[in-house]
Amino acid sequence: MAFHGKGSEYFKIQIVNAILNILTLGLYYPWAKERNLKYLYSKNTFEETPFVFSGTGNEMFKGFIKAFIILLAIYGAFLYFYLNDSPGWAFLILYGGIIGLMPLAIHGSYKYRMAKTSWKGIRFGYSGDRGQLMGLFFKGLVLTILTFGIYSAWFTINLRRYVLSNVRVGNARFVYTGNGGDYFWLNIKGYFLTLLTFGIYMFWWQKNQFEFFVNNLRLEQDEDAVFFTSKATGGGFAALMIVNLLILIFTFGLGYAWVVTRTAEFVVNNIEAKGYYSFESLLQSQQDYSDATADDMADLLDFGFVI
Amino acid sequence: MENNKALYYNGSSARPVEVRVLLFKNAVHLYDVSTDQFMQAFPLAGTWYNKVGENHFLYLDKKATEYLQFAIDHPLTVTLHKEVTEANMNWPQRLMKQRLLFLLGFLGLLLIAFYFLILSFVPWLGAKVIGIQQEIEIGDKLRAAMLAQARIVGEEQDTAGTRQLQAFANELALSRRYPIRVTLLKSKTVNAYALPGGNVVVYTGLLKKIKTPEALAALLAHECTHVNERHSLRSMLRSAATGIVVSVLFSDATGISAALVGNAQTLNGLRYSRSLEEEADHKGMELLLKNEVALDGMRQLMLTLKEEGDLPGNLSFLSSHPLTGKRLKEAERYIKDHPQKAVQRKDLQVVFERLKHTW
Repeated sequence: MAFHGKGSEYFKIQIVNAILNILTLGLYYPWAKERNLKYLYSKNTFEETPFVFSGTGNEMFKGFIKAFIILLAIYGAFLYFYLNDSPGWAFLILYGGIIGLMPLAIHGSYKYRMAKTSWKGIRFGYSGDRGQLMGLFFKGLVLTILTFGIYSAWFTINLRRYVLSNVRVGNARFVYTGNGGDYFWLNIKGYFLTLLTFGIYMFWWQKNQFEFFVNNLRLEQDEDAVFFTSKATGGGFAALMIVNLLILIFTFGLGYAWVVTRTAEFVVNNIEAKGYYSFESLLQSQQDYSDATADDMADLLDFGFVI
Repeated sequence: MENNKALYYNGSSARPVEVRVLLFKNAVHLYDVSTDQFMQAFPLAGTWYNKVGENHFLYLDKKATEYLQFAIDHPLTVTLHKEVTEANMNWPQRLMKQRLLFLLGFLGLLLIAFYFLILSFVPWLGAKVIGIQQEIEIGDKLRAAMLAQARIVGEEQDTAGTRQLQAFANELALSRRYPIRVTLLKSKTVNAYALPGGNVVVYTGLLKKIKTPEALAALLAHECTHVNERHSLRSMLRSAATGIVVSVLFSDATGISAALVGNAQTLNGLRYSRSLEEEADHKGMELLLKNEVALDGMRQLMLTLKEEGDLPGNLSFLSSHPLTGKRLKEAERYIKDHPQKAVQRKDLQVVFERLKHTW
């Protein structure tokens, strides 16, 4: 894989987005998102073919309005019960509503983003089941609370495994094989070594997490498979993160565009694909899906796209 | 015509076929390589172009499932790129075409305009919407919160002193619109401040340093000007407006830039409050004039404050009050410009003595 984006190009996009955001008092946001994603996708190539993001600002604007109304309704119900002296119900609705929305946002967000991602003209897709994801989410949440957070490693990886294993590219599918136990020990080791080394080990911990993500992923179709491996090193992560931080500090945040392109370059260039697969045999087989409500909900609830 | 071949991906499989490409009537026309048979045409408006790595890509439909791939040195790419861009120019794209320097300048201007718009509009609207009665209620709530907070650090209200100080304030006509209620707080701090809606808080630390009724009257006149001119409310609305500006502009940027902007805002807020202090000194003396209190009280008050010491000169931009020396000069100039008959308000003297006797 390779990333060809340049900080200066992305910076220009950011500036134009900022101008239009001010002129429209923030309403340009969905179109700004379209521009950002289109640029980043188009500069990201696999086998010398770029990815394409075909979502539009119009779709995301509609989604944004819907997501906003849903959140407003929850907040309205909260206020209604709170002001009518039943704070119990009020908080139940507020927290219950927001927690309940999370798996829905993950599900819908993946459906939308995958349907709008294509490569060699072949759409990605997400075939997960909403009910199953919700079951997995609430089981994980309850167990995490009951075990005072210990279960969170299993919770994260179970969700990741479910979601990633349901990602399709045409007639090929991704498979994720990581398990919670390995992730738990990885983090325990990372945490204590980071403490012992006064934070220096943090970069190697980061490298291990990245490896855990990439190396457990493969793409398969019938008997063919492509395996992904990470080439990233702890030193590489250290250089990336320290320089990013310095860029942000010394440019007063204006260098954010370079931070994004540097990070994308690092991530993409450090993923290697090996295996037996003829990509020419990919066939268009995933449905298009244009409802961006959940994707915008994920933005509004402020949690990242990748799990 | 060998130089018009390209790879065509048809959106149903990832296996490309070779096609011939012709460009006319604002559309891309595709022909079969071996038979030269016409296959399909795509209007240029709606296509988009991507040049990445060693290849050029022309996406033929909005969903981008059908596209053409050209090698980087393909002779068609120059015209294609130009025509596709022209056919799809909307105005954000036109903006994209501008030079970076122009864009940065334009952004800067917009930022400044937007900043001043919000900064004057929100406080204006707030002051219109919030009535006197509501302002008084807000002030009372703030006073209760302030007292609760003071109690945590061991500062109690001096009830007897408060009563006497209130009696002193009642001797003066300080405000036409707001009921002036004073609170005397037991503390070593040399300070006093005004809350929205007529609450004035004075610390015993400052009161003990005040030697004459005129100086005390000057202090109250200064604080009550903050009340009358709604300074606290305006400051609060202003910082709320700043919050709006920061969150609109930096909602998608990093925490660092937001923090930096926040810092700059604090500094600017201090400058703003210095201008309010100057106004309070000035209008406070007008109040003294109206109450026939000797203007010298303001000069005495300034001297008292000056004893407390200023921040070193080069740190004066960090102070919410203008340097006392400067204020002292202003007061002296005002006194010179407004000669008074030497009146001594005996009634004030009496209440002042009573107040001083409470400790």
